[in-house]
Amino acid sequence: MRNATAIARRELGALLLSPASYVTGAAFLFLAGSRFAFDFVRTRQAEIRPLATICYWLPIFLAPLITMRMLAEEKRAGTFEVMVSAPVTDAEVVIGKFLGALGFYAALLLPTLSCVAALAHYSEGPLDAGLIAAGYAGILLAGGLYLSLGLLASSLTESSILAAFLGFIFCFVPLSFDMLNGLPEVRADPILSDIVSYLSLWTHYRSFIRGAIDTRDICYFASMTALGLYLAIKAVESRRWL
Amino acid sequence: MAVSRSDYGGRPDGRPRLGSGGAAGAAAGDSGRRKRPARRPLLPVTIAGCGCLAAAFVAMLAKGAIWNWAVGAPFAAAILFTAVGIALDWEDFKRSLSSRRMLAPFMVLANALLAAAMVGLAGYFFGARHFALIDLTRMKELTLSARSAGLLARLRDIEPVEIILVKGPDMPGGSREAHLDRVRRLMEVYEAETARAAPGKLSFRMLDVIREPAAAKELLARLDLSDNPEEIYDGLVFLSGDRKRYVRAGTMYGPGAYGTDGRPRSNVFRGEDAVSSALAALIQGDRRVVYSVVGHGERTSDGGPRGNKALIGLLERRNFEVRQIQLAERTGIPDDASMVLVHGPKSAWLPEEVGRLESYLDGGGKALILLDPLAPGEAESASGLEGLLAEYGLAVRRDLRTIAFHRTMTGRAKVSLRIPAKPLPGASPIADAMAKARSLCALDGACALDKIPAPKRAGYEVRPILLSPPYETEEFLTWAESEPVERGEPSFEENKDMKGPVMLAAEITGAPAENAGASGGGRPKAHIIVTADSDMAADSLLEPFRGNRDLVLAAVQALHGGEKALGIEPRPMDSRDARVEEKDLRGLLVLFAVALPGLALAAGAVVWYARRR
Repeated sequence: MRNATAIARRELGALLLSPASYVTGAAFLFLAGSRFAFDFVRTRQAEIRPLATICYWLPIFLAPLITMRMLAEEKRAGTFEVMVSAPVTDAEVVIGKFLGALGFYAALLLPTLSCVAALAHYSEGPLDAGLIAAGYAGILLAGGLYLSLGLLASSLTESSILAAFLGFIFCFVPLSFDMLNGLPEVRADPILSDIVSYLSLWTHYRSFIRGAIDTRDICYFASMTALGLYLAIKAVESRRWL
Repeated sequence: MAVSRSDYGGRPDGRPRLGSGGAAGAAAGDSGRRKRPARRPLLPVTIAGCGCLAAAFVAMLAKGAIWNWAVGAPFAAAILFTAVGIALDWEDFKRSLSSRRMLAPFMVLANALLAAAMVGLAGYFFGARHFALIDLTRMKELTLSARSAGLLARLRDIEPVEIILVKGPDMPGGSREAHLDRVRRLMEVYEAETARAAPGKLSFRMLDVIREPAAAKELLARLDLSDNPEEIYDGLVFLSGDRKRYVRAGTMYGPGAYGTDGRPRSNVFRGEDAVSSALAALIQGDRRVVYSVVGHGERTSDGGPRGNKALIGLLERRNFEVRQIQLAERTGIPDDASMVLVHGPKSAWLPEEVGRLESYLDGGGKALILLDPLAPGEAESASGLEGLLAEYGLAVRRDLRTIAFHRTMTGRAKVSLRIPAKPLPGASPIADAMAKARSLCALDGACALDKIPAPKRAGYEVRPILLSPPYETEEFLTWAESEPVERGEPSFEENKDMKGPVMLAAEITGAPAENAGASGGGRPKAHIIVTADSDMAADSLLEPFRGNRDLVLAAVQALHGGEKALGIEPRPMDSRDARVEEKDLRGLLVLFAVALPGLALAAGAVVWYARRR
């Protein structure tokens, strides 16, 4: 785990020292902030919902951009062999990079606390702290899931652009179950409806927006993130299967 | 075949073989000598590609279709950008398609399928069977009552339910928006809970009658409300196959506590009660008929505060239709009766009327009978029901009036009867359910009920539902008084009065052996619930006291098969209103859309400048 932490620190440092990361961060803050401002004025409700809603779909594009170079670029530049020949396991490499990406994503979320300050400023009563905390927990968990899928995409190719494209497709998969969930054909079949509903990200995400911490949702996010990371580890390991 | 790291072979593209040097440091030095890859405009191309995909996605959501030109055009552009990106990165892409490298993704895919199946199954079963929900909202708004949660699971048995919030024409005033917001938030809780309990069985949407006039017209026609559309404005419509129900906006609110002037001090949101009742009605299908006997001074819906409008509303929300009946004009209770309600008769029933009720009960009928103590001077005008109930083993002592005194420093002070429900040995299950719900019943002048050891009709048992406190406790004195309590200071007289605990509500059912068919030839048994006070179900006491609603609802449900349906305590909805106005938008946009991203860009510029130096 110490190796993973060291890799996470290195990745986080690399992301924070990259000007491109700040451009990405600025774009994220612009989209999230403007949507929050419009929705807040429209609904006049001191809720985290506007921010949480945009943080539901924006990471679909953001996560692959954060992770696309993490493994693909290392493989392309030939530095990946350097890393794996060091005394670290493939799992430590993947988990370390994931933690670094998650740390960067959390850092991106820090400025959004100013939205909470705005909610507190305009709220007629005291702010519901539990609701806010649950919302941020959901945003982080969903972000973790997207990042693991982005990392999986990055582990499958040496091309960064292909990694980003694949990452977007992977991240879109849990979201696509939301659309499927609304189809009458799916709703008519109880078993299929059960499965699609379970796989739908929104089903689990909205509990957090509403202020609920449900172990079923945590189980979903943890297992799906673990699946993404496991597959990424296997993809890295697969170099030795050849 | 697994190969050890030291065996890892050289690279086909002619890059230096790793591992021969062994140490990472050597390799690092090697990579340090490697030429820096030529810079290619990959990032802009990637961002453009992702942007096009985002546009396709947004178009998909906006158009509500998975595929049309608005989706296809940006998607094609995204493919084009990808192709450009691949062309720019052609060497790497070509290498990734080499036969050896193509094998790895297939093996990953096999692993993926296996791992996904294991994680999916483990997550689904573990999550579905052992879970806990922590409601972090301040007012615990996300916790539906046990009754509502149970109902949602039963939605699996019917066609999917579509709930429509019908937004009427705009009217000035903030309370309407607050109402719509309350309903929306409540429906989100239902949607979320149904997604787990009965996935795909409940959907919610809003219908604006101004913006969607055609859909509104169709809905009104379906509900037969074309001539009276205001009925459902701001209310909820429930559709499930050919079943339909609607809940008016007004019925989602009820009075809170009553003031000393007899008027409710506040309105409380009873949305969950209304929605769950409508869902129960959809599940049950046809309405059941309750016959309310009139003609002897019984309470009716037009009786003012002493009437039973609230009780009838409560029953109607639970899919009962209440019809009045004058037994003197009928030959019997109609066959479609699911229950007979006798609410506070003031004058005597004719023997024929009692006989008709008796015939109905003999056929396995069900009755809820609410009686009162005799008024002064009413000694001879017994209702006539006492004799019938005595045959089943219940003595109704209408000549007694249950009273309670609070002990004080100087003596005692008469107090109103407020009876907390308690689990009692040998009591009706209703008592246990009410005790669990911590129901507190309020009575106003109750008579006394008592068991008769050897009744005329065998095979019945009387089980108490509500008992007054014992005669003498540290705080209270309670007994059933035979003298008119208005006269002077009543005192307990051993031979004339009845010591507490006094039975104030009781259930008469077939004895268990009889129910099992051990005797009696399987003949259906009467099922009767009697209360010693009818005021408790009158408007003045039913609305303000949840315990009274609990008792009435639990009694009605027990008579109809024991479905648990205690009233749902209305919970206050937390106000999350914000004082933000349109004029604040500019300031918020400057802060969130300009200042914060600008700061991020400035930080990026500083990093870029520092790295260049």
